Parts: sequence; C-alpha cells; structure tokens
Amino acid sequence: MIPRASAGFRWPLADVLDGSVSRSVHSLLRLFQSSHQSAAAVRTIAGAAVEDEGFGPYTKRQVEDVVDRAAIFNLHLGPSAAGSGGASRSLGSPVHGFLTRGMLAGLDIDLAPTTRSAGVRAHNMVSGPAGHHTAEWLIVPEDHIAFPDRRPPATPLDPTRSQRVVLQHLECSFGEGSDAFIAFGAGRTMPTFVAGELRLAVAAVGEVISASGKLAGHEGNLTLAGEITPTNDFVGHVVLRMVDLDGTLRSSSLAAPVRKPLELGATYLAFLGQKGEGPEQKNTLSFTRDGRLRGGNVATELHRGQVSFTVDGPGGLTASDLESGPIIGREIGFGSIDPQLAPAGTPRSPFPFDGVAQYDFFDERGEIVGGITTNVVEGRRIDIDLGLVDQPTYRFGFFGPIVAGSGCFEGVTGIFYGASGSVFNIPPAGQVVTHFYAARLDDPDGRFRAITGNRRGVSNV
Amino acid sequence: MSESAASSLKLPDVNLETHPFENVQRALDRVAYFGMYAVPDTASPEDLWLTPEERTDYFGLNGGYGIDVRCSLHRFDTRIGEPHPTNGLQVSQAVGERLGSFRSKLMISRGEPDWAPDVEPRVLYFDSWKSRYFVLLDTEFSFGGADSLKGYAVGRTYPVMIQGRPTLMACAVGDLFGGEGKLAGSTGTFVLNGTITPALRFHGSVSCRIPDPTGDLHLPAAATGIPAQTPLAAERQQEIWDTDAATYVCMRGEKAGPEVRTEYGQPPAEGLVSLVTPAVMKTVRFESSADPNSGLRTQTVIGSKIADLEATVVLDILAPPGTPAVPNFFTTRNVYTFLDPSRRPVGSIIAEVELGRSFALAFPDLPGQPGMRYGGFGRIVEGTGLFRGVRGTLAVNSAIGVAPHALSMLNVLRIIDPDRRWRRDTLTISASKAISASKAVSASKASAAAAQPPGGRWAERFPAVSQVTYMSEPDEARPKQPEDSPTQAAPAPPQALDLNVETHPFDRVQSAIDEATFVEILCTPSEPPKPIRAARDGDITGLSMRQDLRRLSTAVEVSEDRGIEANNLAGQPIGALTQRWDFVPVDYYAVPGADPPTTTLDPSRSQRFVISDGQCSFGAGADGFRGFGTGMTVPTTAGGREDLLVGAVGDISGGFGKLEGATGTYVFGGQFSAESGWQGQLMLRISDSGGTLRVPTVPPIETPDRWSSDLTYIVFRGQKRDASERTEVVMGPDGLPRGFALRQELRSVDLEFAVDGGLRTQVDFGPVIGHMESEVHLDLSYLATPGTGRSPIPFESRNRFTLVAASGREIGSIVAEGGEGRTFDLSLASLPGQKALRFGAFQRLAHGTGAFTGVTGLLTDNSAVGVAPHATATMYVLCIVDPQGKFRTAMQRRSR
Repeated sequence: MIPRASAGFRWPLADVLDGSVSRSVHSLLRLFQSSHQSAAAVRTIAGAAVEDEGFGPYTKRQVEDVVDRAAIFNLHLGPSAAGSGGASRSLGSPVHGFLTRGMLAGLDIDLAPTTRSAGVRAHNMVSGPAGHHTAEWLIVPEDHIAFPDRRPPATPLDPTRSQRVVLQHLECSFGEGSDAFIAFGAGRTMPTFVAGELRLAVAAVGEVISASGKLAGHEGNLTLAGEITPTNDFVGHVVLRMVDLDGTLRSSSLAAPVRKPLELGATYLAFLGQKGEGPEQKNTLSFTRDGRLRGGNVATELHRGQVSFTVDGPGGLTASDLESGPIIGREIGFGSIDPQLAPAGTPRSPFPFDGVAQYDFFDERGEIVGGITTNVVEGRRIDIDLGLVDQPTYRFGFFGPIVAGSGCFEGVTGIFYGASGSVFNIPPAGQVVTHFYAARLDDPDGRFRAITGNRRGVSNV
Repeated sequence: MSESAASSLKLPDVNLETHPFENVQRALDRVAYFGMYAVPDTASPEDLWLTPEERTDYFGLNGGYGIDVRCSLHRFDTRIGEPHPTNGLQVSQAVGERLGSFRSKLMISRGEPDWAPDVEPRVLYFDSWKSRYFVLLDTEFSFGGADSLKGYAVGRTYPVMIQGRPTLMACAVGDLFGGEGKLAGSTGTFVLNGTITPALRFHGSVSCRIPDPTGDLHLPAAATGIPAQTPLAAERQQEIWDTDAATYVCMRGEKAGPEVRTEYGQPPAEGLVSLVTPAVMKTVRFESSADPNSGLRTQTVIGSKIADLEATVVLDILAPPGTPAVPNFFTTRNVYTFLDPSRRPVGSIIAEVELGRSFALAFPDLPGQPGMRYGGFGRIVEGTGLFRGVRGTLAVNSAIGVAPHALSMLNVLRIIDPDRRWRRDTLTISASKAISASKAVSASKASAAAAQPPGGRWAERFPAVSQVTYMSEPDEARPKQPEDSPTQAAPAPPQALDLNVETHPFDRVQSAIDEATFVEILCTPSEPPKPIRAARDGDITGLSMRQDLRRLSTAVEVSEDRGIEANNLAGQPIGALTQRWDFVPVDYYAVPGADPPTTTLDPSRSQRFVISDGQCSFGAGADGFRGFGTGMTVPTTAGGREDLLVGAVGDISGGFGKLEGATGTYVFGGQFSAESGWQGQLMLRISDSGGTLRVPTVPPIETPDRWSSDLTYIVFRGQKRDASERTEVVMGPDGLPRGFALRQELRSVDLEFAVDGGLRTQVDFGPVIGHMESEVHLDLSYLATPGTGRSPIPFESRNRFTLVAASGREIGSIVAEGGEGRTFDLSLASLPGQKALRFGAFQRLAHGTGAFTGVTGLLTDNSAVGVAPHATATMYVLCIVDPQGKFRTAMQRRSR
C-alpha cells in the first residue's frame, strides 16, 4: 500500500484563475511580472536581440541531456477480464462519479512511415497484463478547486454536457504490486459523437503524489485520455512521465514483451516535439493590432519517438530509453499570456496554461500530407530543479480537443495530449523541450490504424 | 405597472402619436430586407487564418481563439403553412442562388464583450462544448462584386446535444456601415442565426435590414421583376440540411392596429422599464436578386397571420439614443402562440433575446419622429402544446417607432429539428431525387433507431442523451451586463411584488397545479433496520431500512356531535421502500451524493437526517421512483408519554416504469426508534399534466385490517376559495418583505390508488371542513431563482388550522410551526411563462384548542402553488399522537 501524501495541493482551474499562458512562453510571464513592464517595453525587450541561445554555463546538449532524464511509461488502462478483480461501478444516485478498476498494460504506439497514399497511421500494440489500476472519478462544479485530501461536492454526471472531473485517486500497481504510484488530477469529460452514438471521452492531467518500489523517490506527472463507458469502465491511455535523473527507471536494451493489437474504436498516435535549428524555430511574441501582448509563438520539429516498458525483466519495472527518431513533421503553436497570473507552478498549485497548435506531418519527400489543429484547453506546469543553475526548468502535462484536420486527417475528431520537460529562456533566447505528444483519434473504421502483421517483434496472438 | 403608475414616474407614453401611426408604419417598412442563407465557401483549411496579414503569427490558427468565417450568401425561401392542430408547423425551406459573400473574423471573447468595433477582445480559446461570447471583426458583405457593406457584431455560441450529437449553435447581432456601390451611405442591422459545424464553418440564416427611404433597393410587394428563386441542386440542399438540422420559422411582426397599446409592465430593476407589446406574427419571405444588370434588389412578401406574440421588452427607455459607437442594450421575452386556421392555439414557443443592441433611427419624411432599429438573439427557453420540448434560437432584426409604437419586426426562430418534424420539403426542392434521398435518409435513420435509442448506450441510463438538450447551464446563457449597464439584471424590488397579479387567469392556474395525483401509503418495517456505525467508536450514525408499503385511507369527517374523526384503514401490500438515513448536524447542507459528516444518533434531542439511496417501488417493482430528502426527529412528551416522531420531505430524483420522468415531492410523518426503525404515513405528490395516472374510480381498499398505531393521521385539502382571496406580502421590522400571509379553505379529501394493472389513482375533494391562516416566511428574492432538486428553496411558516362542522361551529384549532420546508420550481406546460412552485414541509403541532386541546404531533404539507396569481393546492396531514384512538372513527376505536 502506498502511503498517501498528507499535504493537500491545489489544482486551480484555468477558468477560475481567469487566465492562461503558453506552455512554452511561461517564463516570459515571470519576467513581465517581475518588472511590471508595459507591452511596449516588452516589444523593446523582444527586439533587443540576444544572439546566442543563452543556457548560461551549459551547452544546449548538456541541457537536453538533463531535461531528457525522464522515463516515459505508456500505460493502457481497461477493465479486467470478467471475474478477475473487482468490477467498476458508478458512484451515487444520481451518478456523480465512477470507481473504475481493471488491468494495466503496456501500450506501444509506433507510427508507420507516412506516405501520401496511406497518410498517417500507427501500430497500436498492447502487452499482456502488467498490473492493476483503481481510479475514483468525481464530477465537480465548473468552478471547483480540487484537493487530493478533500471530497468535492457531489455533482451529478450529465453525459450531455462537458463537465469538469477530478481524478481523486488513481492508483496503479505494476507486476506483483510493489512498484506503484498514486496520482491526483483534474480534467473534463468531452461528449463526442462517434459511429452513431454518444461517447463520453475524458482527459485529465495529474501529478504523482506518492510512489513506492522502484518508483519511490521519483517525482512525476501524467496525462490521460480515454473514455468512460456506459458500463462504468475507463478505457484509455496514460502517459506517465517520471523524472529519472539517475537512470534507474530506464534501459537501452529492453526485451519486448509479448504484444497483440489493441482492439478499440480509437487509434493512438505518439511522437516527439523538439526544438530544431533555423529562424523558423525561434519563438516570437504575438501582439494585437493595437499593440497589446497576446502571447507567444512556438515552433518545434516533430520526430518519431517510441517507448515501451516491462515489468518482467531483470531490473523489474523498466522503461526503454526515449530516443528521438527522424523528423516527421512540424508544430506551429501559440500560447496566450495573462500577465495577471502568478508565475510559479508547484505540485500544490500547478500553473495553468492554454494554447492552440497545428501539427503537420510530412511524407518521405518532406511534403505535408495532413495536419491536425488542437486547442490545449487544460495545461498544468510544475517548476522543477534539475540542478541547472539559473535555467527555468519545467515539467508539464496538457490536453485538448482536436478542432480541425486537413489532408489525411480531414474530418478527424479526438483528443490531443502529452507530457513534457523543458528549459525555457526568454525569446529570442533558446529553449530545450521534449514533448511526448499523443493523440487519441476516434477511429471506428480503423482509418488511422497501421496493419500490424509486418511489424517487427509483433505477436499476432 | 398601470398606465397611471407609469405616468407618476414620468415615463413617456409610447402610444402617443408624434406622427400618425400609419405614416410611421409606412416609414418603418421602407426598408430593404435581405433574408439569406450562409453556406460555407470552399476555402481549404490551410487558407483559413485569423491574422492573414501575418502568417507567422500562430495566433491566427483557425479554430484556436477564433474562426475565419467565409460564406457565400444565398437566397433563402422559407414558406410556412398554416399551423395544424395536430402537426403544428409545416415549413418548406430551400436555399437558392448565390447573392453574395460574407466574410468575418470571429474572435472568442473572455466574457461578454464591450461594443468596440475593430478592437480585438481579450481572447479566450474556442470550446465547442461551452457557451462562448464572440465578436465579429473585419466583417464584409459583398453583393455582386460592387455593392458591399462592412459590419461589426457581438455574438454567442450555444452548445446543444442533439440525440447524442454535440452541436454548436451561434448567433450574432451587428451594425452595418461603410457601404459602397449601390449601398453607398447605407447603414443597417444584421443578425446571424445558425450553427458552427465540426469543420468550423458557419451555416445558417443571415438577415440584413437596410433602411431604404428612397426605394432604391426594395420593390413594393405587388411589383414584379425579381424572378422566383432557383434552388440549389437537390443533393446540395440535402447536404445543407443534413448539416444544419434545423427548421427556420421566419415571421413578420406588426401591431394589429393603431388601437393596440403598448403598456408598461413590472419594472425589472432600477432604471429599467418593461414594455409589454402585443403583436401579430405573419409569414414572410424575401425575394432578392443581385443580378448585375438590375443591381441589388429585394422584395418582402408578407403572408397570413400564424401566431400572436406577447413581447416583454426590458430597456432603459430614458437612455440617450443608441449610436453605432454606443448602442443601447435591451432584452426581451417573447411568447409566440401559434394559431390554427380556426384561431385556436396549438402551442407556444417562448424565446428570450438575451443580447440585444439598438440604434436610433431617423425618418426623413417624419421630422421629430423617434424610432430605433435593433437586433438581438437568444435561446428558445420553453415550448408548450405541440411545441413542448423544442429547442433552438431566436434572432430578431427589427425597427420600431416610439410614440406611436409601430412595429416592423423580423423574427427568425431556428428550431432544432433532427427528425424534420416541422418540415415539408416539397415546395422548392422540386427534384424527386431530393425527396428520394430524404426518404432514404429517413429509412436509414429508422433502421438505426430500431437497433438502439438515439444517442446510443448512454441513452439507456440517461434518457436526455436521446433528446435535444442545451449543454450550457441556464445561468451561463444569461447576459452578464457591465456593472454600470442600465440593463444589469437584478431581482425585482420586493416592494413591488404582487403575488395576485394574473400571469394567466387564476382558475386556469388552479387547474394546472391540480394536474397532479396523490398517493397515500402506510410504511411499516419489513425487517429490523441495519445500523450504520461509526468506525471510530461503533456509535450509530445512520440506518439502512426497508419498509413494506400498504394502501392507506385516512378520510376525515368533522361534525358537532362526534368532533373530528378519521378512519385510518390499512389495506393490501402494494410495494416496498428502501432507504438510508444518515444523521447530520442541524446546519448541514444536504446534497445528493455527498458524504455527510459522521453524527451519532441521539434520541433525546431533535436531530436532522439525510435520506439517500431511497427507492420506492410499487407492485412487482416495475413502477416506482428514487428520491433524496432530509428529515428531522422530534421528541415529544404528552401526558407523561414520550415519543420520537419523525418528519421528512423528499424530491423524486428519478422515476421508472410508469413513473419514468416523473417529478414530484413526498413527505412523511411517523414514529421512529433505532431498534424497529420508522413507520408511518408517506404522502406522495406526482405531477400528472398528461392525466395518465388519474382515473375516475379505483377499486376500494381490500381487506382493511385492524392496523393500529399510536398515531392517527388526518388528511385534508387546502386551497383558496377563489381569485378574490388575495395573498398579501408581509413586511418585516426592517421594512423589507419577509414573506406573505395566506388564507385557505380546508376540504375533506378521499385518496385511493391501486397498483395491480399499473399505478392508478383517484382523488376526490369533499366539503369544506375548515380554514387555515398562514404566515409564510420566505425570502421573496428567491422567486427569481429556481428551486431545484439539488438546491431547493427553504421556507418556514406558521399555520393555524381551524376545523368547523357543517353548521359553522368551530370544533377545534391547532397550530403547525417550526420544522423544515423545501420549495422546488414547477413547470406548468399548459401555461407558458407561469411561475409555479411545489412545496414539501413538516412541522410540529402545538397550541391546540377545542378538540385539539393538548394534542402533540406533526403536520406534513405537500403542495403546489402558482406565483402571480397565487393559486394554491395543498395536501395536509395531521400526524397526531393518539394512543387512545381519540381521533379514530368509533368503529376503529372499538377495534383497538
């Protein structure tokens, strides 16, 4: 049993705080606030070019190395087989939440090569059972500020509306159960119409508040996206990102567990977003036509990136190293800035942010074959200390709906989400970031699912 | 407010004739209306960008903080048949040839935006699940190339769930300026009423109203010259209406004649007035052309009357005239009563303009004549009769004279209509292909519907999923005015409250609140209660209980010789009740689903408790309801005897079987002990506007047994004698109203019900047996706030009941006071706009006189009332500690 954190921490909601900030320009805000500068002054600062990328005494490579010391676990949560373990159930009458229970497995998401004819597709493979999970989901009022040690007021579930939800208690245990964590988070339901019926999609950002076994002593956060089913189960994907400075949670040589194709009406995509070189990769500021600061513009390169984990190897629970593959696309994005917000993000009170971004995918010739536009409606950032002196360092999670698709993504619906680590300096100075991006695409017809038979290491069990 | 009262506040009489009414009406109608339909153009997603001047500013990503709206504008022919007594509206609608284009930058605003043309609002991200305000910047209408207008607007999105499919409605009201070509120098008003599709495209009605005193743009109705509309191809029409699942009801509003007066209503807030304006609504359609040879022209064709309108407009009538830079604000509540050819109402649609803007209007030929053009929009809030359950939006684009109050209104109701209930798609979609396609779609839908309910599996647990429901809270849709806005919503000044004002005639309200049935039940423990104990010390903090339910009859007679007698007959088993009680602190705010704080049972004092997991099932269990409520234990001592009584009030949170969808209140009173649980009488009131539960006769109670109890139950009905029985507001010592005083007459009542063959009830009221005077303490400002199952409105009252014999002689009186009362909003489907409430309460009995001398016990009260007029319908139950059976009939006394 994992001990619960005794101190409550605060998860303010973006709408409550009435403000937002980009996940990638948050330290601008810190500067703006500390100096109380006007928008015009900000222009001046922005215009005073800083030629190098300014990571202090560090090289960019060194900063990247530290930021990327994290273990990513792609978890797939779903109901247990009938008769094994407790059943999920709804809470209250009228229903005001869910207690979901079930299995935990590894989820491998591997993008197939993008081509003009096939578009963007992914293999989705799931391992055998790797553990168990229990989650308590509570519907909360729109203006509720959630705490892990406080019961929110009972609020009836209404699947005809998008409602705020608190992940009051998520407990995941791996293998025999000694490696485990408890997380707390907040998110929302998003009713979606798929294949002729209502689906209750749900996404949330969470913070690991207690961990045991191999995970003990590591801080981390998670983002999840999935669906609450009419039978009270949660089926979905959790991106768990644990800070792993000493590398005890990762291995470069990981035996691939037995996997089988994930059967779902959804397909998951996963890839990395990292800063590239060149002027188009520089962050810039965005102003209204009358000179008011709106926020910041951010661009990254999208790379192939795939991770898996095992619980059966000699080291127990271990994730594969996250390796950045070839460029497969580009991100252009904007994040709003509200100078009225306090800049710090802590586990007790993460910093909220929102934004919009477009992700375009290239074929083998470097031409765009399709893109998705997403709104980050809920992002939570936590400041961390990785030992980089004077380098603002963050970890964060976020999610939002896919609001538009083009090319091979025309008509697509789903949720975009991720978990990231970053060092961010004031534009035009440099930024290091590794976003682990994921998208859960509603895909009843398998339009985005790659054929699994030709993939290496795949068992067609 | 009466006319004289209005005069006393020096408000202008809007009916005075600065110029003759007919002249003003003609001047208002010298206008070019373009009633169009916007179809998204074919711009690729990559072309859509909010900041086209700067493509490296990613704020411009379409769909993030705004939408790049690009549409082509088409002729829009809507024809409305006469409302049918059973089918309601039958509308033919078709989109015709292209007239021009509409382009705008829709920017999401954080909160209701100021009216600030060309200024980007404080932005917020687009969210299709949430209602969002927006502004329309850089708006341009272009007709045939050379003729164009610029515009600026404010608007709002309204998410709605249509049979499981989240959909986003969008409306806007704006000002037109900067005309060029044939529109040079023109100004006007435009409104949008449509939907934003998942592909972020706007579909819907667009109307432009452009004053045209010289007649350059509009042709007289009788003139010829504009060819009939050429509809788009049938497949395209089909595509449009599959995307925009709505029926558009376009109506022209005008006064029936100069003699129809506009009156001041209740002032809604300081600085504001309400104007109540009756109007007739007629069908209307627009013939428009942008033919390059003849130029931009339009013609308005007004048809026959289809509805009456009563519009209540709230505005600051003394504000300076609105201008394009600083328009005035207004809101309206419009009640459209549609009439069949025999002029009988077939149903009503109530819609509110929650965001309205008005601009001063000058008439070149009528010097000194004030007037205004205005536009606005809001949601349909209610439907009655054939329109029960309709959802959608209203947009108005109109002009009025002020003194005289002539009207020239265009109102467009966009009714969500996924099943095409209100449509008759044969008029202008001539291609048989379209009809075939329509049938194919219908057949496909029917097949799918047979497989599962609309909306899918969630609909099995949440029936609302298969219906059309708004996704935003009601208060989210209410306007949030600037603090200094003259139209800032505020509760009506309590001093002005008159509960006797007749929104609808008193008798009709009385009938409507009596559209309910009552079920009187005896509850006895079927097994010992299961105590719920605190983990800490094992103390009892609650109980899980199960009761058997039996028919109960408690008719009362009052006579000089026998005093007050009630037969308390218990009959056949009719079901079961399960519930959980958790004892709570006296100030605990009970909410369904919440875990109450641990509180130990203490029979020596009065304690509150929460009733959860309550389920009452009748017969074999097919019919029943779930409920949630609160109650109180009441220790009593009389004649050296100690009893622990309980009273409670609950709300039906969900019904099943024949009670599926039921709303209602239940109260109970009885005795309680931790060892044996609770037993007593439960009085259930269920709204029954359809009359499905009430039958003329129900078989009499079977095998009445010698049920005995230390309590005797006396049931009677309370109601006002008639409309002349006024309810007066009671002022408190602080000079503010603290409630109201009420007098009712009391009647005997016979309640019967049966469950075999389905739940059926019979309610018969008998002769007058007394009267009741009450002072109800209720914060009257609550009347502007709905009481809901989660948040009922609390109240307290002190009631004196006096029972009299037929001779008029007083037999006894008793007072009910203290306790707990809860109030819930009540919808009266047959009376649009009528505020009504249902109550449940329990109180202690004290201060008895005559036959009631020394009596202790409880009173329960299960009621419905109208608010303005204050018709009342109450079922009272005296629950009297009566171990000797003093109040039982002689036969029952003997049987004891």
